[in-house]
Amino acid sequence: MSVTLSSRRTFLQATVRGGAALPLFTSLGMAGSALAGNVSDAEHNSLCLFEADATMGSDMAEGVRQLGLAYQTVTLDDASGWSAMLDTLSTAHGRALAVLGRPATVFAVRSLLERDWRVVLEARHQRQAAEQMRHEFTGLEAPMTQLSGWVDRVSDPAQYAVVLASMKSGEFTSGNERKTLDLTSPAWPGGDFVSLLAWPKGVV
Amino acid sequence: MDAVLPPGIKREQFASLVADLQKVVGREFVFTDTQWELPAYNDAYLTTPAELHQPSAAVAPANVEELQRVLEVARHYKAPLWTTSTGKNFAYGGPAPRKAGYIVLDLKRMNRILEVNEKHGYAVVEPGVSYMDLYRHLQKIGSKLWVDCAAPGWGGVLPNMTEHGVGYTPYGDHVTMQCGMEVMLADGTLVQTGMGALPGSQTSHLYKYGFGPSMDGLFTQSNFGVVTKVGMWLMPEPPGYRPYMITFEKESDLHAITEVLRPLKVNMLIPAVAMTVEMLWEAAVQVTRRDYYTGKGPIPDSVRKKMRSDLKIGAWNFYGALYGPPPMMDNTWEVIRDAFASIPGAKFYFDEDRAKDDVAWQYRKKLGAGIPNMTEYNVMNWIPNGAHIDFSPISPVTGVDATKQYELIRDRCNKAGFDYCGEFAVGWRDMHHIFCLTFDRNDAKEKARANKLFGDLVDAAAAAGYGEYRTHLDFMDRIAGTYNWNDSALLRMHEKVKDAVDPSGILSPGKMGIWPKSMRKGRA
Repeated sequence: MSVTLSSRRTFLQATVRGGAALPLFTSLGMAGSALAGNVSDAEHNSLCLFEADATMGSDMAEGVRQLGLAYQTVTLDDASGWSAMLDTLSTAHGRALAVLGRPATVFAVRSLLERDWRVVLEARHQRQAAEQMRHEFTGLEAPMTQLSGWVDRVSDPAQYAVVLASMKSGEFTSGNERKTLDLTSPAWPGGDFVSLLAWPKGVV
Repeated sequence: MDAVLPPGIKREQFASLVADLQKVVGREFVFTDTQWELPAYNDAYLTTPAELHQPSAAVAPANVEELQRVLEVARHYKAPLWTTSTGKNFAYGGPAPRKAGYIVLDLKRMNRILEVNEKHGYAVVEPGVSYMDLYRHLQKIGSKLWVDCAAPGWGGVLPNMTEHGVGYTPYGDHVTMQCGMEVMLADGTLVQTGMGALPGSQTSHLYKYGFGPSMDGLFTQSNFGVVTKVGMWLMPEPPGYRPYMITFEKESDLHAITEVLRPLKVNMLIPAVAMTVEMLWEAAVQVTRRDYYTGKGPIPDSVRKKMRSDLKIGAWNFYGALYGPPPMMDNTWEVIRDAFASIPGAKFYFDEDRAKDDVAWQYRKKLGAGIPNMTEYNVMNWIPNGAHIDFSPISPVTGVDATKQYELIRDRCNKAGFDYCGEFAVGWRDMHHIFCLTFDRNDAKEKARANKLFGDLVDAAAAAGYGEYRTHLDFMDRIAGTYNWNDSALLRMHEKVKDAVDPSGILSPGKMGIWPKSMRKGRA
């Protein structure tokens, strides 16, 4: 068996095509228009990877699908699930990735991305007390600023994943300065999560 | 993080070196961007400053021809390379180099499965092939051969073997199951070891030793060459597989478990690498510490008792498996059951006795049948920002030694404010005691405490006559220094070999405490 990795040239060519058409950042309200069928081909370029875990919110897959975004579940627990994720990643060059799951899972996924994608934003979502969630962002300022405006408006990991997967890259190409930001919100169901947003090399 | 340069190389030379590497592998496979590319080669679980292990660049050749030319460039500039392949060895430093400025030699692209021999039961793989890759390939071609994988299963078949890793089936001693090796020496010479040295050999992967001295071991845990291909024996699917679990109620049962186990292992009634696992490891793959305890320091006994009850685990949990035709398994089980039943409170479980959502059981069951998975990685969810380095001393299979090692580690780790989370992997005549020292990678003080604890454990274990089989980058010199019999004769021999086969000192300087002549003053 031989797996030929893409050349950077091929990769960048794909990125240019995909990058120009990466999905628009949409509010949850804008997602409604997507629901109504106003989904451009461009939005198919975004891929959401999320952990198959009941506590993540039952409507995540549905929400992502309705936005017209591709999704793939991630699991550490079985070879076929992990392999499916690897297969999806191997064909996802040029797409933006939104990843959400338990910390170890997202860490594992991240370590697979670093050569072909750039993680522009990472957030740790930790339950502080029964009623409060702490969100610690690290990454580029522009996507962080946009996303932070939504933290209070989402009520569970599923909704957050939908917002994350909808981030637009075009607005954020200038400036690669990394920042950190801490926010709190009402608690989400479930435990601690980590999320990250990755764009293909060449987009930033 | 600012860019760094290879030791002894000036900025203009480095630019020229990078250009030369690009001529070999193409611009796309030389990585120098400190913000976006090189972080992939950092050690995410460092307990020391990241600057100590920051690479200057990484280069990824696609084949032995490119590798040969990369070595030529490295020799020309006397640039140190640090070899890595799948790069998932996170408990021991991941893909990060021993020292800042090294160029990471990333063999991930050399990822071909060159042969699967169903008749004789082996596969030949390049360095970038992971257990998942090999498993998928065997499934795809309908093979009846099993992989013996590490946990987690994203590790590499070849690099795990060269690091002396172990798995969970009867083929779990990976070095023992390796047969035939191709190595590139620092001068670019490609060598086939063993029977492979015979042109047209029909037995390169069937007989390990060839003619003359057996060289393969020289290239494991070493920096004497770059291993580019190995043969690995694979276990044929047995006619039956019946994994089992035995739980024990008391912490002090470790002594009796180990005494009962030894004759069963030595007489091969337990053919696989068996595992004696402490309860927190079992818990950490399925719950978080905060689910049970939010206080500081080690978890109190009362809480541990509740966890055991909730998760239906023991203070110690023994995992083994029966392999073979059902009548053989039935007979063997009688002996094993009767032996362990002598320990009061022992409880016996087969698959039908454990819940379908019992995370710990399910992944162990898969490992015993060579099915790779990543479940064990969940240990990192135990605490926020979980990270770990593993302290791995070798123990005789005796109750006295197991207990002594356990108490040596447990007491020091509790005193330092950490939970003991460990297991014993029981091999042919030894036990690998794996203590998973888990810490918050965002907490500088905790990292410093973990680092100090690790060093204390190295010294305490050595004083008691126990040495480690593998270690993190930061402790390679310290542990190599404990193997100092007869004025460090072994280390001095390693250095003579190093100077002979790699006079330019370009291959992984400092790996396992072995430095080239030009860098011995830099020994940390």
